Amino acid sequence: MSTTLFSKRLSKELIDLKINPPAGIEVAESDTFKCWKLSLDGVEGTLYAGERFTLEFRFTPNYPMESPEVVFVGNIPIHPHIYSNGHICLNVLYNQWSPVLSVRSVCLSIQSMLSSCTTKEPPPDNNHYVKTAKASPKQTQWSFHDDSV
Amino acid sequence: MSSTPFSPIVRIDRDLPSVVESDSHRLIVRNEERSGVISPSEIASTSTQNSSGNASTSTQISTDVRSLMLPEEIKDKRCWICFGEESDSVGKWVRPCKCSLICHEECLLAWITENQKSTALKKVRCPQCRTLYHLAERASLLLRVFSIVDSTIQSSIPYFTIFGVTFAIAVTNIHYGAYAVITMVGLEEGEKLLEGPWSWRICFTLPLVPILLIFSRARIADPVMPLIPMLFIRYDQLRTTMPLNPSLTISLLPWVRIVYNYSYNRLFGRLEQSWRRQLEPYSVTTDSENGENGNERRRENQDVLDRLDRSNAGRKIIGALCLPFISAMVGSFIGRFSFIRSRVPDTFHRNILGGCLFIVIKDIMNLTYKYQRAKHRRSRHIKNYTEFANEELTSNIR
Repeated sequence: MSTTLFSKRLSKELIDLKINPPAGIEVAESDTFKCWKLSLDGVEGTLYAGERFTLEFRFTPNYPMESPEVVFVGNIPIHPHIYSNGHICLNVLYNQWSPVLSVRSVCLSIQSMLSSCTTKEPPPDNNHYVKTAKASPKQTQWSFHDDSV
Repeated sequence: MSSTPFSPIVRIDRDLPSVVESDSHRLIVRNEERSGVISPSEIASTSTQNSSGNASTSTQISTDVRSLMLPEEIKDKRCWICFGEESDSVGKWVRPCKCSLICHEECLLAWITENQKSTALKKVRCPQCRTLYHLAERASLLLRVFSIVDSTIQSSIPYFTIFGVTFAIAVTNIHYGAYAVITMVGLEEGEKLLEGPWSWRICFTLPLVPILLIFSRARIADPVMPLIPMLFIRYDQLRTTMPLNPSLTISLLPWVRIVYNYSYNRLFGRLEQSWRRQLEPYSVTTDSENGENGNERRRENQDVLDRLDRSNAGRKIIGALCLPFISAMVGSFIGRFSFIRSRVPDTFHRNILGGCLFIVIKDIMNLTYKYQRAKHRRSRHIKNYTEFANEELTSNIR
């Protein structure tokens, strides 16, 4: 049941993203239901205008019950909530995940997080975190304290 | 009440993606004004609003009216979990909350099960409107009790772990302490000492033995070391008798250690420091340098030396823990000489003496080793090729 749910929902999301892509978001790679890559453009008039980033989504067969693993790859934006290894500190990716969210809404959330940034600077504990973090950000115990950026 | 007048709202729901898309820029701009991240659930809830209408009233209307509708009455259903629509999915539709989300019963049960993985009977709410899901279920009292017990055990595991580890360390320490005492005072005396019900003094001091031995190798505990024996010594043991009471000897040892370390540093500290500095790459000349630059350099050197010291932690700990046994070995060795035997008749004091002797000999050997290495380093120079080219040639020919 869960495998059919998983592939059915992901194919629907994919069709929706391809037919109806949100502004500045584009599916770059979606060969399997395991891993997708989406390109994310910085919104005009914000600090990231003109920059293009790549988000990597990794799904388990338990998606959408379980959150996807989302990280930036390649060119990683400098942002107070994005670590230089691509890990993103955003509650909806971890404890606040629910199936009502989707690849699209996560992308929009991250785009909005980038757009509302006022100073381009890495997180204060970046060096320590990057040294000690596991490969998957889902293994990190995140604490979400700043809802302004 | 018929559903026809309100069908536009329902249709907007179905067109969710396009509304979000056309609104996305506006959302972000608005978001910037109050400088906050907009959560996807907010995006979803905004999308249910009629784009032309006032936000709060349209949500209000949709809530009021839709709360009266059963899932069967809603057209164009779309499950918020599997994204299946009426046309391409099967299963019973449910509408468990007051907001616009509807879903398959199977899907929602799966989501609730996922949420209850860690704690059974955990309350689950709608991710959008926070309405508590109401389940018709047969939860017996027994299941409830089990669930509470289960979550209590789950949350108490870390405390048990800490307790267990502490207990294990304490037991190890007590064993080590007892063994060290027997080694130092000899088997007969030791068995007498540790026999029978233990007084609180023994209970507290035995686990402290390895800890104090280790701290005796570090400087951080210097100010408190001499005070610790004071906590445990009995008043009547303070009298000076000949030979000294073993308890008094033990409480004097920290003082002896301080005096010894102090005089060692006074006598050899500088010398040792300079030898060590000579063994650092590129540091032979820094002493003559003056000014800020020189200071900086010296501080760096100090850092290097500190780091070297720290890397020796394992060696120091093992050394500290071996000390009682080495002392006993040296003690029994010097006990063979009759003039020591006559002056220090009891095993314990001979062993203490042995330990002191060992430390002094070890320090002398250490100093000699450092001196030899520094001398060796100073004597070095690199030979030019021409100086040994002939030798090499001749040896090759041979």
